[in-house]
Amino acid sequence: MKILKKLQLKTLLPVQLLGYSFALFVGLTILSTAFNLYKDISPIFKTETNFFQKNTIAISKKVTIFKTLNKHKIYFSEKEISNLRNQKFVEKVDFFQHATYKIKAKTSINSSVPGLQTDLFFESIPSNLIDVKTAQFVWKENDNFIPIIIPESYIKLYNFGFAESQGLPVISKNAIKEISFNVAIFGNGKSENFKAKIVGFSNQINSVLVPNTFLEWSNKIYGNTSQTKINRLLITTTGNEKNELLAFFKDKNYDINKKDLQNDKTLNILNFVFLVIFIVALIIVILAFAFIYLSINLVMVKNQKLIQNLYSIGYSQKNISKFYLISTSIVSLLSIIVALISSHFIRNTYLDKLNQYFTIEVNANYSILTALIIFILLFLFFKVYILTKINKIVDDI
Amino acid sequence: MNICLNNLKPSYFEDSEIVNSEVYGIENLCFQEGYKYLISAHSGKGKSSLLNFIYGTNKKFIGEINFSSQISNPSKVKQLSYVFQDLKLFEEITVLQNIALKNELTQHKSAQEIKDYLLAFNLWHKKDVLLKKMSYGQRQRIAIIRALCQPFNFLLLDEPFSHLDNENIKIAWSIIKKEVALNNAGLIMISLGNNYGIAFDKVLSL
Repeated sequence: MKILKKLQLKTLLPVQLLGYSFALFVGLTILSTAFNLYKDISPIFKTETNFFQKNTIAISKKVTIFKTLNKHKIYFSEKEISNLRNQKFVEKVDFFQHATYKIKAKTSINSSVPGLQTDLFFESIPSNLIDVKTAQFVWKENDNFIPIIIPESYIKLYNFGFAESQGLPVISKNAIKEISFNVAIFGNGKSENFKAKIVGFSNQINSVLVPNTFLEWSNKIYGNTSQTKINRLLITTTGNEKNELLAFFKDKNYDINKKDLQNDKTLNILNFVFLVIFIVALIIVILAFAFIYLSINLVMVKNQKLIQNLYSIGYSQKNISKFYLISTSIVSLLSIIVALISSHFIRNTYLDKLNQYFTIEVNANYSILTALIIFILLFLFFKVYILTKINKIVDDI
Repeated sequence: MNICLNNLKPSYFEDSEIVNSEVYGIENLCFQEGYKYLISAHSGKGKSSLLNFIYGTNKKFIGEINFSSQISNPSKVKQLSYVFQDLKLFEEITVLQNIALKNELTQHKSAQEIKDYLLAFNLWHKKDVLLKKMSYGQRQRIAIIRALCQPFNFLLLDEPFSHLDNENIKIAWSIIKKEVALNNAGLIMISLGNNYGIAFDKVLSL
């Protein structure tokens, strides 16, 4: 079939083939690079937040200048709570209970720690919602010991702010856990002293937490029962519908943990940017397909007579289509391979850079498999399209 | 193999247009293997259409075309070679390539046999010339050689000698006759009315 090939070679439109292969190359390179980059860097953001897994978040109302004057506005009404319960992204709503009596804490006189005395507050939440897991965090009636969980940020505040400016020693988490101090509670004309220790540090709950059992018991005896207003809620999310969740909170002006949000915002922006890049690259690839589609059509129409004559002297439609199938496939394959190589080099370059700042888990590279699938799809498309076209031309004799 | 036409008529013809035809609208008209037929007609009588109907590239007809054969091998039942009126040669390649294009498909003739044909037609020295530089008469001879580069049991010729001088017609006919005999085949030639001094077994008017 040497002469057939020679004859058909003259019918090709090299500039159009070149245009197609270039567009395909550019589109696939961007697509593959963006895909790799996304797979490589999105874990950096994901590992720092598990906010959108099934999770518990604390929400409160934003404190504004007006609300400082009218404190009632920071409380959640019954209606608002039931409305929250009805949202599909909410699995469960729990409350922060707070101590409605006065609390004073001071370090023991004989301890090695400098003498400190402070007013304190206690809150409690269901213990399964606390991110600190420790067996010490229990209290039974008649226990003289209260386990306390404080936010991790408090210790940082003390170590890097307070201790530094006041010339006090810094303390490690373990050291703090060893310090026992005295807690006195007052209310309804009564008072009681307890021993207390910090047993854990929470990353999620910005509060001084004691076991539920203690708070319920102590509120009954020392508490001011009229104060049962709820200013913070704990929401267990389903983990889905994250956009609705964010939109809902924003709409209601509820406050949630900013750090989680910050990371998630970055991830969201990242997702959006990649989505745009993907779409642009996809459009380029689709345009390349459209281009080769029209190009094949043009070649067929221009050479209608030649194809009909070949068929007339005995060449089958399959014989005639073979050359066009092979040439378009080879051009596509070359573009795909060059695009793969390019995106591989680009990936190596940015991995070198990124590795200076982050630990990148290098993912398995699925590009070759994807490229193979794209090529097979293209090949099948060419096979069917070219043969259909030639059949139609031959039928028109 | 025999080719039998049964009430054949181009679908775009009125019945009145084929009243005097000895081919169209005839019941069971058979062209037999080993016989040479001349079908003559004026322009516009559907001459080329008839061969295209038989060849299978034109299906706009009413009636039947049957190929009957005693040969058991089905792949050899229907082998037709055709010298088209418009020749269907390829201008972008050379004389020899035009012939080889067909022979690559069939592997029927050796290089020497093709050379002999070109020599006989006095075209061997032009073998490497692009076809578009050849005259119509030269092209007709090339088309004839190409048609012989395949086994056939019927050879269809559509005004193959219209641009040939008597000398070349004689050469062409002797070559064709030899190949038809070699293939034990039949022959149908279409002409505007001229029999070129050839003794056909049967002459039909379309």
